[in-house]
Amino acid sequence: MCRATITVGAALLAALSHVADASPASKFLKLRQRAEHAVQTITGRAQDVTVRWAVDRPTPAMVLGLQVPTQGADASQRAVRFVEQHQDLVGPVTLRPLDVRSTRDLTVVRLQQEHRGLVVLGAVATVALDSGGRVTALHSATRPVTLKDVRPRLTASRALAVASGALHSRASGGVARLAILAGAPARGAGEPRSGAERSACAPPEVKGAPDVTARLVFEVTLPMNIDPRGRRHLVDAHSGEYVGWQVGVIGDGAEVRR
Amino acid sequence: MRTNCSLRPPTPPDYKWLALLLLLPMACDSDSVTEDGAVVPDGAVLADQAPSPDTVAGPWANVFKTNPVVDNKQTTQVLLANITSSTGVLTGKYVDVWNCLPEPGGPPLQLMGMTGTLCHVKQQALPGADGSYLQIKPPDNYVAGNDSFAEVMMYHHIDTIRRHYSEDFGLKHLDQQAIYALVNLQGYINGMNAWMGMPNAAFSPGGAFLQAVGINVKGDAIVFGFNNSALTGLPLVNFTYDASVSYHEYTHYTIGGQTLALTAAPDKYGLSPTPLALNEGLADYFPSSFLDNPRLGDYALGNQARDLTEDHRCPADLRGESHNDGTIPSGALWAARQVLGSTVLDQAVWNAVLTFTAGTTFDEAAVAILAEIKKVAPDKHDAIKTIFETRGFAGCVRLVQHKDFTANPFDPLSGAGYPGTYSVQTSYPDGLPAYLQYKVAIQSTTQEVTITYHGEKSSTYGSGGTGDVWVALKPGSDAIVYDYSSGAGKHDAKAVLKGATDGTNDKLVLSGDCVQQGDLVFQFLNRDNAEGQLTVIKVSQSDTKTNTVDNFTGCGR
Repeated sequence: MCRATITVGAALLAALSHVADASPASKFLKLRQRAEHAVQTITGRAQDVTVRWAVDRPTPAMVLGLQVPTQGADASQRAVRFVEQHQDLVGPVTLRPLDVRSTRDLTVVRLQQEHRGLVVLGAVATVALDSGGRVTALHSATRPVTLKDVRPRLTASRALAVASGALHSRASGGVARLAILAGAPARGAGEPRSGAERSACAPPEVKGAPDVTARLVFEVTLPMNIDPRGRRHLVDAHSGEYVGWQVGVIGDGAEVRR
Repeated sequence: MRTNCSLRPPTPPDYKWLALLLLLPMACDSDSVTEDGAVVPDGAVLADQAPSPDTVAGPWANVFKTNPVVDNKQTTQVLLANITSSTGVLTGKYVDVWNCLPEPGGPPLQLMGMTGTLCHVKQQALPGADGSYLQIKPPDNYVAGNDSFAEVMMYHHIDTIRRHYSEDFGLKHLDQQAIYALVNLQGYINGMNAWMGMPNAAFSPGGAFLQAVGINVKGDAIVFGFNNSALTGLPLVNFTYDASVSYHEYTHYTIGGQTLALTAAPDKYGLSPTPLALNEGLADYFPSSFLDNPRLGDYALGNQARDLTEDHRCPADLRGESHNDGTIPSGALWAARQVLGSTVLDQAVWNAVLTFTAGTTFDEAAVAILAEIKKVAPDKHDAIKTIFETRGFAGCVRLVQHKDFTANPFDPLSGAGYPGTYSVQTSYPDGLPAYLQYKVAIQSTTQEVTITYHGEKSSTYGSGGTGDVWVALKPGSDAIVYDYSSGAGKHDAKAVLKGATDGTNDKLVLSGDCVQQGDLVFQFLNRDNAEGQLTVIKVSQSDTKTNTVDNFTGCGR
């Protein structure tokens, strides 16, 4: 399988450079327009094409009913070339082939988004190909990331301590790895309004709309005696702030009422 | 299987099995521990595993084909296929089974100021002198936690479901490596002199769950425990003995640890709890389809077994708990199976599932599955689409007509769940939207509306207290909708208000232009780190103003 890392959207990034200081909304709309054009181009007059747009990302969550011929030595190469040729469908992101899975009818290549060599959590695109090597579907959870500084300002052991402390524990141990959390504004951006505004009754406003596309985080797994839920905790690798958690053990609870 | 024990009051949803270590085990009669061991019927073999004519003695073993209840405690002889170990331990090409025995040798365990020892990980099941495993039979006590039969059950059933997925649907990636499977997970607590089983089963992507307790596993793992305490309120069962539970966890593994992993995904109506719920629904549907039995966990879950023939719908049955909410797609798929048959439908569903991402929602999944069905059974497409839409698997608008309710705060299925800021990494400036929105009809004579509510935070070890829950209001019949183009979730509600506490509940009193005849839509917004559930939601209307101090009278209409 192709292990090369591919970067798509270099031209798009350059094109967007002039709006670097623009609002998140204008960036979003710019990328959405490009993605819409890409969808139109790729679907053409094909019938039975279905597109679902992501609400919180400028690119489509899925495009179904495609029949796009591709070239490549294997499915992985074909998927990579497809994404390279239709980069606006996934936005200006770097993708690396993650794995190839198949059923009787199709082959699915999963592509993991990376940013400066770090995994972007949860940001995966899948490209489905039929037996003739044609791309039939694209699913994507990718997000543009412009975070420049990916050097942590705290150590992994400090991140473990922060996560442990968030659970009111002083115990040590666990595993931490650096990653990118995309779509997560830094502290202060878009925080809830204060209680003093409770009687305002005014239409809601976004206070301090976030202009941060991503955070550098430590993804922390704590020992079970600290967190029996087995969650993956997130600690901001710049500020040391405890960000939150994501599901670490799936399917715990074959039953739920006890 | 039912026990004679009285049920213990339910404990909070986030109590995990380690919390149960604090509970003294109770001696309790149940048919699982008083019945005799299994009887192997003469000549009973699985049809697809009949020995070839030249087979003299192979690795035969006794298993429950489904579970002790359905099988009436009768075991069936099967061939254990694909064993690769030279010593006869149950390490195979596709599954590597280990036991966790109640004996010294395990890593230390620390929990809430208490110390103990985790069980000892080792492989115990070995063939007898004839090369078979037939000497291994169900123990008299199913929940003693020291049996080799659990290893045999696990090995056979994981290899069985792997073969089904690989050979029948072409999921060949499952053939590339063996999954680590651990049975009889339990712990010993010092001072209590008791080994306590984990009354559950789980899939641990990357094995993190096991690594964190000192068990050196590299790669995905599935773990199974047993319940030996009547205090849990669960039947005294070994989860390994229920094939559907083994298949359920293996299906999570087949879907993959990065797929359908989000507890909540941003969408038009706020946050949808459906990606993880879909994961659970699929992990119920595929095993049920394979077994041709719509009840998942009939033995292991007792009266909590999930019945796919029940007509669960979105939004009416959505609770924000993944196993519960998963019954919506699993039920829809089971109904579709009656139209299309399992062979065609299951292949179509797998084709779609492999393309899903971490945040694929019910609606997106339904659309993708329908697209696959259209390829292979276009004449059935519309019928299946109708099923999906009727059940709310497709096109669910999470807006329901309000009905007053008071929930049991310790029962995650009786309230209305909401997410916490720690579990959602998307910004919502006014607070994280609860999963459901409510609509109430304001009468022409109404002068004052009171919304009474209570948000109960959850925490790892029980209730986390009262949540900081606000209310978004929007006049009319249309749902509150969200826009994310600014980088944060902005809603189109007209007001966001916080009720005043009366010591027990929050009360939001509306009058003036906040109250007009017609529908009013409201949605709860959580500003806490912790997730929780609305345990009280009541709406009352009065023809007179009873409270002129704390009323909200200007709602920006």
